[in-house]
Amino acid sequence: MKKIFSGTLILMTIVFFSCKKDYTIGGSITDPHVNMTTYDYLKTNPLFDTLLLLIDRTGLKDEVNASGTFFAITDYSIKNYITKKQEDLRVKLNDENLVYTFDSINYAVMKDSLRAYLFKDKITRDNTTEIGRFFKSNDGELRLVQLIPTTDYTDGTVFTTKPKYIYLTKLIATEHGYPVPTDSTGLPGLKEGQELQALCQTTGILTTTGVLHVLNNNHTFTYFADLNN
Amino acid sequence: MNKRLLHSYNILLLASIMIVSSCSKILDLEPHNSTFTEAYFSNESDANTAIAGAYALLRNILITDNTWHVYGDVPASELLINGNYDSGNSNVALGLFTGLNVNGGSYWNWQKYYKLLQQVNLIIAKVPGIDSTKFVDPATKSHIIGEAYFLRSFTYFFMSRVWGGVPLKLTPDYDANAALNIPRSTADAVLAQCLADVAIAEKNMAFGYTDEGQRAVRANKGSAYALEAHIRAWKGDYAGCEAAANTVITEGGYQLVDSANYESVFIGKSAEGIFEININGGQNEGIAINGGGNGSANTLMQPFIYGKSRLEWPLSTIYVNNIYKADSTTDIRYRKFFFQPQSSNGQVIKYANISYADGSTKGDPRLNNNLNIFRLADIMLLRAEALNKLGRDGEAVVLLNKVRERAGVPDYNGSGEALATEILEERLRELFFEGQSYFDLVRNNKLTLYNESFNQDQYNKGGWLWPIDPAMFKDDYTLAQTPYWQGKL
Repeated sequence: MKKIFSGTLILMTIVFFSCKKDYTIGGSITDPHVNMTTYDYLKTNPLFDTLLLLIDRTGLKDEVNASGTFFAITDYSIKNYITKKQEDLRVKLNDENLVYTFDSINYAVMKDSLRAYLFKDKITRDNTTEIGRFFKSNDGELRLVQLIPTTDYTDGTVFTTKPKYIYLTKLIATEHGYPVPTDSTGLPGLKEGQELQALCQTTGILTTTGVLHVLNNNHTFTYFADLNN
Repeated sequence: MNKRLLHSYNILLLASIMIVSSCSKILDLEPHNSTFTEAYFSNESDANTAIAGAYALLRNILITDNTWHVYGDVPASELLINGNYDSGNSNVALGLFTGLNVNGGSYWNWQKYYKLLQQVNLIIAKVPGIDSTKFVDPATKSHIIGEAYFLRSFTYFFMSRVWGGVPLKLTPDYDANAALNIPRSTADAVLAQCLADVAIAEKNMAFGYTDEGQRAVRANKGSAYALEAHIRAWKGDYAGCEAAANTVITEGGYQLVDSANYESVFIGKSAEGIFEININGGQNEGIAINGGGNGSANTLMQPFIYGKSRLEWPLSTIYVNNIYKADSTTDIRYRKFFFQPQSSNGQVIKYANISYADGSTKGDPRLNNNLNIFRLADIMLLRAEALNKLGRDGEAVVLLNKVRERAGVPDYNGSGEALATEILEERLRELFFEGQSYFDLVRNNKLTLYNESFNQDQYNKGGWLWPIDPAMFKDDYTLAQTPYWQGKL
């Protein structure tokens, strides 16, 4: 009897302790915290060097570090913007040789465009939903932050709960004159094509100053490519 | 001899009798659950199921690996294929038919076409032998024979546009071991055979449909004339093309669908449909987008498919802007066919009739759009093209403008070469992502103007044709590689 009891005790101890192990990825426990400010963290990755140049020239360094959330755009997004802007100006000014570069950007005007990616609130996966929640960006515009399920990596049948991606979404009025909602009550009435969605490729980095999300490389800064859809 | 021994002798005797008699019976029986040609093809239902099987094989050929779009749309550069998700077809778009990761086993290989041709040849050989009294309506018999000739003509025409010359197999093989290897005929010989077949098909079939459920998904006289128009245009016989197309337009009973209901044309069985491949969830024939139907609905993502956040085949903004030019604000098609076409994830939403097999969970999306092979707008523009080539610009403009009016764009007034370009671009606009553009551009000798990535030298030397799969040579020593691709793979 004593033997059985001690055997059970050992088994229980093993079961109890094995459960307590932390989930590990890549050999260490993932920690979303980085011990740097948002600005300094961006400096560690060459994917953001043009963005940093833009932040410096618009003088928004302090505002970036003071904001609760920053949806960082990569260099590709700025490049996309410059290409599109050049195409657009060539048509508008009827000058097919016009050259538009990073230096041609009017930084005073761009200040607010960059502020549209900065938010006072701390936005994480926990405080948004699939249909989206409005957040006021630093330039005063409303942006929708959505958490949308995906069938990437699974075919949608293996797991009952799908993985979800964060999108930063700009709302527009279309040619049919559908109104842009100003609060969440208008969201169910949105029409296809009113949402310009930008997928985040990295999310939830917690710096010492706030939350950092990174938008995908195909995004065009200011949603410029999406506007005349 | 005791009683016991006698008993066992009796049993032995009985057993041997049973074994001998039962053996002969079993061995003499014919298998009753397999279809073999002598016993099959004896009544109307056999003929009907055989032709339905042929359509199913054709459906499989055109849908698998997006074959219809990969041949007809991708190398026309309509799409800017994302190499991260579909690297093979991003090469096809550049004209690199032997490029890295191109699915050669599927796109270079014609074996499954000969499965279909075997089935069609069987029908052509056997259905005429079924007694007419076995059919409720004797016209059904000739109609089925006509459909078989139509399918043979269509298949060889499709193959000839892809590979040029192919082996002409016109009789069924009853014994696979006795099948002979046949060398590739010339493209001219293949097209001549197509015309001979389609002429028989036209004679055997009637216009219209008695059963609306069969509209466009089974061939009729209109489908056959539409096919003839396409074959003749491809051969450069524009007079013949014009006449055949005219028969479709005036006698076929088809009409353009109002642009308010444009979607219905792509869902299928509309008044405009001439020939389509049936894809219908209601008949359990939708295409499963996740899992099983891997690689379908490549031009779609959310919000059209719930949870799909990757777009394998975004449309090419440059190409779209090039063909729509300033008309993009007025052209109804620009809004009906595309979703956010100026963004990097522009979607082609012609084929976006999605339903979910698992209801509100939305985990199992299915595509329910027929594949348009021929439709009225296509044949009208083809006739306009022929009329223009024949110098009858006045009549061509009328047809062109009918299509333009439906799309909400102002009438065109021009002639000669400018009109030819306009008709071609109208086809590119109207038939975007319908498996036609590449062949339209090749037929008009303008491929490299619209797809600038396509090598001019390759095009000039016949490299617009596809290579054939080296794996097919191992059983067949009579085969030769497509000339341009000899020594290149």
